[in-house]
Amino acid sequence: MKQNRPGGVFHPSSFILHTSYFILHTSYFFDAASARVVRLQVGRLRASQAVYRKPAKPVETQPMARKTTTQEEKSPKEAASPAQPRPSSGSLFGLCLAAWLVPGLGHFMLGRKGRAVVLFLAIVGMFLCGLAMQGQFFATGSPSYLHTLGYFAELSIGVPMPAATFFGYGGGNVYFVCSDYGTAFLISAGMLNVLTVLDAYDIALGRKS
Amino acid sequence: MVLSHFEALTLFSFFVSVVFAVLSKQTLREQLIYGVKVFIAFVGIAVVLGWIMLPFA
Repeated sequence: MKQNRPGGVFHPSSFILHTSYFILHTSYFFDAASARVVRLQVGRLRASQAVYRKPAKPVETQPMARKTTTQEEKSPKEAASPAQPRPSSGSLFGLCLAAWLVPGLGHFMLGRKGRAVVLFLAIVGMFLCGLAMQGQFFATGSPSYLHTLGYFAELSIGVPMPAATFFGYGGGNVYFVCSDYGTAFLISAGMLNVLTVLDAYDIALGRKS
Repeated sequence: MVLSHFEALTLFSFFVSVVFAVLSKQTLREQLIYGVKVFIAFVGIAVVLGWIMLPFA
């Protein structure tokens, strides 16, 4: 350390600093050395005691069996997802597309029929309640970013949205007393379908049982 | 369909709790328990927030 102060290392502050470093390191050295000395003495003591100790009865030793994980000892993640080949990107894409188009269809394709039915009823039921309350269908041509986001949120429900338009739903009535609640129901149904798609994706990859 | 705010809130909570329970839990019993908990949390927190907002209404 370059000493620019008058007196260099003999300046009081530098002296104190260097002295403290010296004490700290030497104490550490002595601690380490003393610990080593103690270990040596303990080792010698144990060795001396072993001379007078009755030899232990030889125990039939079995070769150390390598611990193999049984089915019960597997971690939940491993048990939930046994080794399976990763599905191809095309099949994953098709699964996600199907799960998006029809709520619950992804789970149905993966064999989770009960879940598929419940998800379909809940999400489509929520969507229908939104329609019944005259919820608003957003459009992409709106100058508001929130409306554009709302459009994509409602589109996330899949086929039900264009189907409602096809069967004569006029996009809602903003002057209806429950229209805001209906809009919230429509958007939330779309968002729940996004969760469903992600869940189907995770199940297909083996991340979830 | 004309619903009051509380009725719409309850219906919304029901649908969301059903989906959350199905996606989060594995067995039927776990799903039912979790779904009930989430439903009660939704409605309960909404009621509490309503009372908190009352002085500012």
